[in-house]
Amino acid sequence: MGSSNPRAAGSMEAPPPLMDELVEEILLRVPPSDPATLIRAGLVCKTWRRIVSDPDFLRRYHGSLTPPLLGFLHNTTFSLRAHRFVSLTSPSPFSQPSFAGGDSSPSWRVLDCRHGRVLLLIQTNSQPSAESLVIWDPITGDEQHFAPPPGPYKCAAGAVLRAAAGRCDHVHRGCPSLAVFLSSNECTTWASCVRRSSSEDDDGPATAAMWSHGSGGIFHGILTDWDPLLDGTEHSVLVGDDDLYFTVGTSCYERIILKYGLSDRRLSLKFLPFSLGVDNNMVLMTVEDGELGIACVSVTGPTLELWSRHTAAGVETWTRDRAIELRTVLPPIAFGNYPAPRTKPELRVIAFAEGADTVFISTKNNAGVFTLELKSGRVKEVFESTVPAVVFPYVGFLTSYQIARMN
Amino acid sequence: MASAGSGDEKAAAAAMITLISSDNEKFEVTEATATLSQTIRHMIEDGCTDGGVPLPNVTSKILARVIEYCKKHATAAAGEEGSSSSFSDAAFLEVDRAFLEELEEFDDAFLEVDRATLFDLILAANYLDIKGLLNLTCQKVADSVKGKTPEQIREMYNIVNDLTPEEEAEIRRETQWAFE
Repeated sequence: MGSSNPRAAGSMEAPPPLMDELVEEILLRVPPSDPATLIRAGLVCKTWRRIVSDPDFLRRYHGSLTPPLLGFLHNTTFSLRAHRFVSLTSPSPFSQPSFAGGDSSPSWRVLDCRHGRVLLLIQTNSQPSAESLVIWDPITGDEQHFAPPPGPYKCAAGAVLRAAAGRCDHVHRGCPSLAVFLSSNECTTWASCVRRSSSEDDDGPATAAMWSHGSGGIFHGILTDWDPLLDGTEHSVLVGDDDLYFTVGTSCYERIILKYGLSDRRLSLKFLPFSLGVDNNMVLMTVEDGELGIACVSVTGPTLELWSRHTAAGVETWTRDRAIELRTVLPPIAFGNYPAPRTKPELRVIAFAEGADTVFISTKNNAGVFTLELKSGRVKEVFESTVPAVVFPYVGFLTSYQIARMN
Repeated sequence: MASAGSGDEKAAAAAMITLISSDNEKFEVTEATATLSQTIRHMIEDGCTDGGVPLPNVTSKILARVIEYCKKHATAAAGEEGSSSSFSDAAFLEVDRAFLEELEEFDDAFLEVDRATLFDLILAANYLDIKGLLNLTCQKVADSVKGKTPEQIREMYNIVNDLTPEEEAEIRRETQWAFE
C-alpha cells in the first residue's frame, strides 16, 4: 500500500467529516489494553491530537473503564541483560532502567510496582553501603536514585505509591511518590518512609531522601523471638489511601502480615486468619468494597480461595467468599501430574494486580504463568518459561502520561 | 396520536409517523420504531409530527438503513412494555438468548458497509439521538483503527494531516514505542 497518496484509490466515496464530539465518541471506545492505538490516533491531525490529550477526555476515558493490566516485572532472571518487564501489550511501551543491560550493570531487583512507578533496589555485592533505591517510571524512563535509610539490615522489602492517591485524577504525572522501605536485622523489623517529587517537578534533585522512620509499633516488644525472613517474595497491597499491608515470611516458614499506616507511620503485626499449612502460598489483595483480602491455593486441591476481612464493632472477622476450582478455569497444561497424593500443590498464586482485579497463578512444572480475571473468569497465559516466585503487575492507563505531553 | 396521510385511522396501535429525507423521500414507520430516536420522540411528545417529520440532514439512502436498524431493535423492545416502550437495556435482558444472538448477527451484518456510509450513519445516529446505533457505529470505527498507523487512519477516513512536521516529530519522539 502506498503511504502518501490518499485519494488515488478510485471511486469510493470519501467519508464525510465528523464533528469533534463524534470523534471523541469513537476514541472513547478504543480499548485501554491497546494504548498504542490511542497514541497513534493522536498523530492523525490537530483535532484528534487535541481530543486525546484533553484532560476531560482522559477523565472520561479512565472513568468509564477498569485500568488495564499492561505487563509485569519479575526478578527471576540471573542474566543482568535480560528484560525484567513482560509487556502484555504490543508494541511494548516499557523501557529498561538506564543502569541495566550493560556489561558492568549492577545487580538489581524489583521491590514493588504501583501507580505507574517501580521501586528498585540496586545491590553492590562488595559494598553493601553503596546500595541505592530507585523510583523508576518504565514509560518515561524517569529515574530517581536515592540512598536507602541507614542500616544495618540484612534484608529488605519495599512499596511505592503515588502520594495522595485518592485525590489524584491520574491524568497528570506531577504527583510525588512515596516509598516505604521495610528492613530487618536480627530480631527487629522497621519501616521507613520517604516522599519524592518527580524530577519534572519543583524541588529538583537536591532533595535528599528524608526518611522518617516508623514508630516501631509493637516490634521491639512482642516480636523479639521473631526472625523475619525477607526473602524477596514479599509484596504489598494498598487498602484505602492509607494502609499498606505486606506479607512477610519468617524463618519458621510461616507467613505473617505487617501493616504500615502511611499517616501514623506505625508498623504492626497481623496474624493470618487461618493456617496455610507448610506451603504458605498466598497473596494479599483488595476485595470489591476496598477491604483487605487474601487469595491462596488450598493445599487439599487445586482450589483458589478468596478471603476477605470484615470489621464490625472493632472485631475483625474473615470470611471465605469464593472457592474457584482451578481445574475448571485453567487449561490442562497448567496441571502437569498434579495432584499426586500427599504432594505439595504445583499451583501457586504469585500476585494480585490491584485495580485490575486479576491474580497471577504459576505452575511449577514450567507450564507457565496464567492470569485469572476474578470477575470475568477470563484466563490468559502470560509467561512461558521459568516460573518467577513473585511478580509485580503494572496496572494503569499509560496513555494519560504520554498523551498529556502531546499538548 | 400522530397520524399520517389522510388521518382516517386514529387507532393508537397503528400510529404511524412519516419521516421525510433530505431528498424528499417519505418513509412510513410505526411510532415504536420512530421513538428509538430520542429526537423524534420529543417531537411526538410536543405534537409536531403532523404532516411528517422533515430530516434535512439525512439522505434517503441513510434513512432507509437507520429505519432498518430501528425496526429490528424496536421489535426487541416491543412486547416488554406498552406503547410507551423505548429501547432499554433492562427490557433487553428479559428477551431470550436466541433473539439476542439474532440481534447480534443483525448488527454485524448491518455494519458491513463502506466507510462513507459508516460515517453517515454516525452522523445520523447523533442527529436523531439513537444511542444504540451511535454506540454500534462508533465502536466499529474504534475497532477499525486498531493497529493502524496515523497515515492509514487518515487514508481510511479522508482526514487531512494538518500537523506540522515539527509537531509530528515531537510527538513521535515522546511516544516512539507506539510506532514500532
